[in-house]
Amino acid sequence: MTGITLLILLVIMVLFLLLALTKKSLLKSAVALACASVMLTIILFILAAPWGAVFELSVCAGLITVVFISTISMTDAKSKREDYEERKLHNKKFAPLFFILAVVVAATAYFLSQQAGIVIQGNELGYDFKEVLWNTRQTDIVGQIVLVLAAVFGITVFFKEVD
Amino acid sequence: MNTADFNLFTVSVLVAALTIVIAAVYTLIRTNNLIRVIIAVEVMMKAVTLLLILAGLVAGNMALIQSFIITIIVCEVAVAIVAAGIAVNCYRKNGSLNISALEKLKG
Repeated sequence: MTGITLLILLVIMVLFLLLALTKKSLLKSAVALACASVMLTIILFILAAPWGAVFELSVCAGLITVVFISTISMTDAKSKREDYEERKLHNKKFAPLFFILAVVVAATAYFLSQQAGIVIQGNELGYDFKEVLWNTRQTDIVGQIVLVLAAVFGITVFFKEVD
Repeated sequence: MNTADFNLFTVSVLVAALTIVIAAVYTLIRTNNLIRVIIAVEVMMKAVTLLLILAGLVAGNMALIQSFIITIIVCEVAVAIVAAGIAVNCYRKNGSLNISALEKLKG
């Protein structure tokens, strides 16, 4: 039962991601990306990774969508002629993608179905998340702080005063 | 999760991750829009997150993988914000989000 549920969630997530890539409207793309993040959040919750799920939902589905929508609203000024030409090009651009994907997915699924099953070791062996995050992976925290500072500088550039 | 469910999940995650990466790389190659480039990178990060989850399940250590997922998410945000800042400033300078406009920059 869990396998089927996860499969359905994965299929919906992949569809949302393909929509995010191929939609002409960037605003719709950003919303589709947020929906895909929500699907990934549900997958993480089912697979007993609640901390990862909370971060995915609040940051990827929330903050990144806000950043994208702000960017789109700050840069949305296109002439009608440019818009028309882009739409014409856009339809042609993504036509081969679905053919390539169909071939690759069919070939991979066939190849993997021929392989022997992997033996599962159990997804909860008693490791404590807090201990891993604060003790085992302490250096990661420093790296993350540096990344957050980089993002803060990014925000200052983002909302810089225009002369 | 029993073994049959796990095998189904393994196959579907591998296929999904491959699909997502191919679609994102195709978009990166074909598009000229800076915002769509950022979206494609974010989409690829989702494939990485999926593969990390699978790695955690196979190794049986979801706690360690959760810390990696959090690190990946922080990287994702930093990349998105810095790239969005570059895109906005490129638009202010050139009046267009076309990647080829970046060639006009000095330096």
